[in-house]
Amino acid sequence: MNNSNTAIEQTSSIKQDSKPTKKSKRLQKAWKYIKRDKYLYIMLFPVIVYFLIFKYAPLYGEIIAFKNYRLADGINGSEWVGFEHFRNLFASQEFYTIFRNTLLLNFYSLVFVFPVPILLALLLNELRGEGYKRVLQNILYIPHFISWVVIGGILIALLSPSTGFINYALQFFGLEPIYFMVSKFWWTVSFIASSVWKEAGFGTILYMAAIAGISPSLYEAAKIDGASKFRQIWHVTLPGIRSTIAILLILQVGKIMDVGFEHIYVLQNPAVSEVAEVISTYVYSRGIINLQYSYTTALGLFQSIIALILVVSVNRIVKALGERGLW
Amino acid sequence: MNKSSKKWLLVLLTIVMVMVPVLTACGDSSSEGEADQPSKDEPQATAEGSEKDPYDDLPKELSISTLDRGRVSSDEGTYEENRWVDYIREESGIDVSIVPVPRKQSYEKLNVLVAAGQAPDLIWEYSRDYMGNLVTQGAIQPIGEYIEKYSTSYKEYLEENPDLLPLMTFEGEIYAATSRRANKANHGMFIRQDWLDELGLDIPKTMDELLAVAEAFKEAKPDSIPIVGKQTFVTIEAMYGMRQDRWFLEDDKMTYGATMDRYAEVLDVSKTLYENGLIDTEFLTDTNNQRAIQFWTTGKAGMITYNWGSAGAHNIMKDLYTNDPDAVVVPLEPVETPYGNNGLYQETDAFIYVAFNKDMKNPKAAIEYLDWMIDGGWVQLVNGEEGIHSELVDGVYKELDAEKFKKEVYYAPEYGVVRDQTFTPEEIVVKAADDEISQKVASMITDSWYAQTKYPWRRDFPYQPSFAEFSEIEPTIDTIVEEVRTKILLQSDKDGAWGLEEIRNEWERIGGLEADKAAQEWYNANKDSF
Repeated sequence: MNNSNTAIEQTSSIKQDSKPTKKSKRLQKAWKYIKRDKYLYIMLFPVIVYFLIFKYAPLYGEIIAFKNYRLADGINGSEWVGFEHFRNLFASQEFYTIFRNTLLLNFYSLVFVFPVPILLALLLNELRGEGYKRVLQNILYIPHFISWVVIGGILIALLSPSTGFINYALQFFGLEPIYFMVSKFWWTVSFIASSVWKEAGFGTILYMAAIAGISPSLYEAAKIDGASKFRQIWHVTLPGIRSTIAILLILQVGKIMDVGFEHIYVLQNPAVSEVAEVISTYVYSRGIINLQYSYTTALGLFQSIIALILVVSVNRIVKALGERGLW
Repeated sequence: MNKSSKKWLLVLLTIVMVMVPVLTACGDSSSEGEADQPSKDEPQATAEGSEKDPYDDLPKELSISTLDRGRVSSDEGTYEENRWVDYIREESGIDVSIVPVPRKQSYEKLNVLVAAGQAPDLIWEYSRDYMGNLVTQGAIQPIGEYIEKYSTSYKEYLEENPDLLPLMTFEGEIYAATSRRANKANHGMFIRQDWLDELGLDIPKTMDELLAVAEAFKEAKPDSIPIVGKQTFVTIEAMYGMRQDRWFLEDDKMTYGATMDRYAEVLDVSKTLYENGLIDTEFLTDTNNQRAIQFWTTGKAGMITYNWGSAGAHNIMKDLYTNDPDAVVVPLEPVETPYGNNGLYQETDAFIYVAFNKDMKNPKAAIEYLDWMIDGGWVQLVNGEEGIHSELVDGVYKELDAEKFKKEVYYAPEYGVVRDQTFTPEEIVVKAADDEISQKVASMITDSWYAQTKYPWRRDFPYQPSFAEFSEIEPTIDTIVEEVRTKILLQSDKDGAWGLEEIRNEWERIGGLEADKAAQEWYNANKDSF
């Protein structure tokens, strides 16, 4: 964690420093920096190797989106078909459904899930008792380590209309039991809420770190100026973590075309597939089970391109708003 | 933490960071290299094999997949290493290594192994469709020549059972070895006789009577669910002489199950069951059948649809009898529908399909393995060791100790991929352990075999067609059918007629008409061989 962070900072600072003025000088200058920071570069080397082997080399496989991939022929041997898979993709009605579902579910989580760790971090930050705070933080982190399969089982049992606790509670107040998991509305709510439950606590870590980096003198100054607790949060804490929020927002938008497979797979059922069939589950059932590798690779490629466009544009917007973007 | 120790930590972390990717990269590339090398030489070796057999010099090594059903207890070992694997190696003289694939994700896991070039030499599955996929993908090779050239016992077996050949043949060539399924019954229905007696009802004989009995159960026992089991819909379809996800010959025309006229009626019956609470209204979220089993074993279900004689069926019956000693379960024969008496789902003649990986190193060893297996190697795998796990009574192997057998033999039968096995329902009772409940369950299961096989399941041709026009749209139509059915169940304004129309429209939209045409061509081309 620590190391990779410093590595990122190093590279970005080098980039900014080494903005060239003239071409001949540029090389000299670059070499000078490399010499000066040689240990840093040595440290960076394995990371570069890692990215080349595990992130860039597999990109080669994307060419099967333009081929008719057969297991026996391999990636190189399969015949080229150009954009046929993309044409099929855009011509199929399922594509628009899963595209819409993926976007919608991610939009909901951007609106409802993304802000929760920020609020939680602000609340935790205001806690006085150090011991109590630690215990609370640990409890909040635990769900992150529980697998979705387990959470899915618990959630379905909890929401069962006949045996679930939630419906007992509803009936206690004289309300009709609801079969939550087959209602499109409640299913979406459960999906989003389970995200919050699992990840919100763990998401506070980065914000807590950012908050810890705010100079106490700012708070003192604010206090002297007579700022209330709320005012301090508004004018000191939030601006202090603004750049962290911005960066996480960009990363979140990068994932907008991607719904984590396990989460949705354990909660899906045929009653809600109109809203719950997303790109990842579609790729799983068509590609992995039914061996339509090329078709689903085309879908995956399309998904990545949209995500790239979104990240680039959000990065621009964030920069235009005066924050430091990703690059 | 002071400054110097921080520095150390940094250095240490750096070292770790440097080492990890390097190590993994090394490990990866070297193992891939090893796997690739011999397989690339292999085709040449086959070509020049006429004079001296190229496989004689190769070590007798063989890898084979198996289905991991999580049945090997830790003191027995693993699916890869246990007493039965040792037994196979010792007796067959072939160094076998087992590659387990999870039962529920067998296709995915095998596909991934094949795509990565790491699939075992022998790949097996119960599904002929899946084998068809592997053939289309070019992942497996024809084996007719190997059988001809190297096999003794298995060749003989095939000569005695020529009707298996069409099942083994894909695109005109033999691609998979199989043996005769000793017992074709698969799905079954069971009903609580004591509930019937309590309410003074007779065993239902027709669909209407079945619904009436379910209604009566519901009324008399409001806490219970009249019919449970995730096979309920398939069972109803079977009794109507169809199955939503299979092809049938309707009026001499190849028709996909979900688009048949009668499917509207099936959907209507399903709706009646759901709306009146005669089946579990929460079946949609009971994906692993656990709720159904819980209701049944705690005596809160009147009927269950379940695999007829599986180990699971024995277990749920035993659990029920243990929980409720007064319970009386009897098999329920398939009831009559407007389409007559049709049996519940039954299997084809072929048992396990064993295919040869195209990159296999030593097909001769594979054939020897099959020869050894069909020659009697399977017997101990299915029945355990004589004198320790079972004894021979009237030509049937009888379990000596139910617990011991369950622990030490229960996981082994599927290692026997080809078996020259026969079956009579009576042997279930002989085989079962001597305790009272095991015997009671066994005799009931025996009765149920007769009930379930009284009528044949509607099978218009010996095996389902497999062709590209259909396999491309199959997952789509399956999803659509399931969605439509769910809508009909949950929304009161929708009925079977609406559903059938919806399904037919979708079928047309996604290219089902071409699939119909291709299916017809397949039928015309093959009907003489049926």
